[in-house]
Amino acid sequence: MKKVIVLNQSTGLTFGIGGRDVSVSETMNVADAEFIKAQYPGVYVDVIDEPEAATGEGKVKGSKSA
Amino acid sequence: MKIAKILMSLALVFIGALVATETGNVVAGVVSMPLASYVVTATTGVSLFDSHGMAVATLAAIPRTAQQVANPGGGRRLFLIPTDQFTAEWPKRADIVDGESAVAPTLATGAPAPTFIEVQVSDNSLKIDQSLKGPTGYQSWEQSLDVKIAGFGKAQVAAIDKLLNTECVAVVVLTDGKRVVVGSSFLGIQFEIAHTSGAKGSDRREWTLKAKQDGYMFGYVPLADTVTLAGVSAN
Repeated sequence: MKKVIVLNQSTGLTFGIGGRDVSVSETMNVADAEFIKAQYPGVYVDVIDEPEAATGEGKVKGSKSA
Repeated sequence: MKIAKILMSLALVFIGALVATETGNVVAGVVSMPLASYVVTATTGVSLFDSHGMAVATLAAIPRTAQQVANPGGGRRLFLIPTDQFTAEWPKRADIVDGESAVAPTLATGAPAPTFIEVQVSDNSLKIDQSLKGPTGYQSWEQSLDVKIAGFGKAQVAAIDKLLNTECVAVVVLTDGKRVVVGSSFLGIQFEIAHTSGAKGSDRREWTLKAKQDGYMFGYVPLADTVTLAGVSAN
């Protein structure tokens, strides 16, 4: 599962992508975040692969099996 | 090889002088030099005159606006960013391919993140100009930008104050929707700013911002649609 990380206090900055206005936030569309990351690596957003085990659902499943 | 060519050249001059002297005919002496050069080249394969090919400038056809397509003047929106927020030259001549740049700027990392800020344009007042100046061999581009902002208030005063001694790069959204970059991070545009209160009620109370800079390697540059810029919205 991919997760958007906002860098350098960029929350709220607006980008025009494909005729749409896209606002930077941790809940923004991952594809938009990856587009911004590709043009500005390390400046506005990062997109990371979050291991499934680290998600809430994974933890619940783990506790059941134990 | 250079020494050999120098000696051959001197020999050619000597042959020309000798023929002219012996025949008493200067024209024969002059003609004997290229003939001797030809004979030497034909027999030894060594040529005095290397062929480097000729550097030929080429031109391209310049089309006018296509029929049945509008060609509106002016600009709709203006965005600025200080040049010190760039970490590499942008735009640059090498990035301009087929008349536009598809390269995003390289910006500084660190908080707060670099972003373009919008200057709200009043009453169709945004205009950009470029001109190619100078005689052949000395030519370069001049770029300029003019815009008016209606009103007078503390927010405007504070924002205008931030332009003091600050070089900027501008992105202008033209009336046809095309985005162009004015200035460059290497040579930013600098504003001269004036404000008038007007003298009576119907006069315009407004700011006038003018920027002009010469010495550019290119005119203002159209941006490809694939380039996205922080603070520059789509609409």
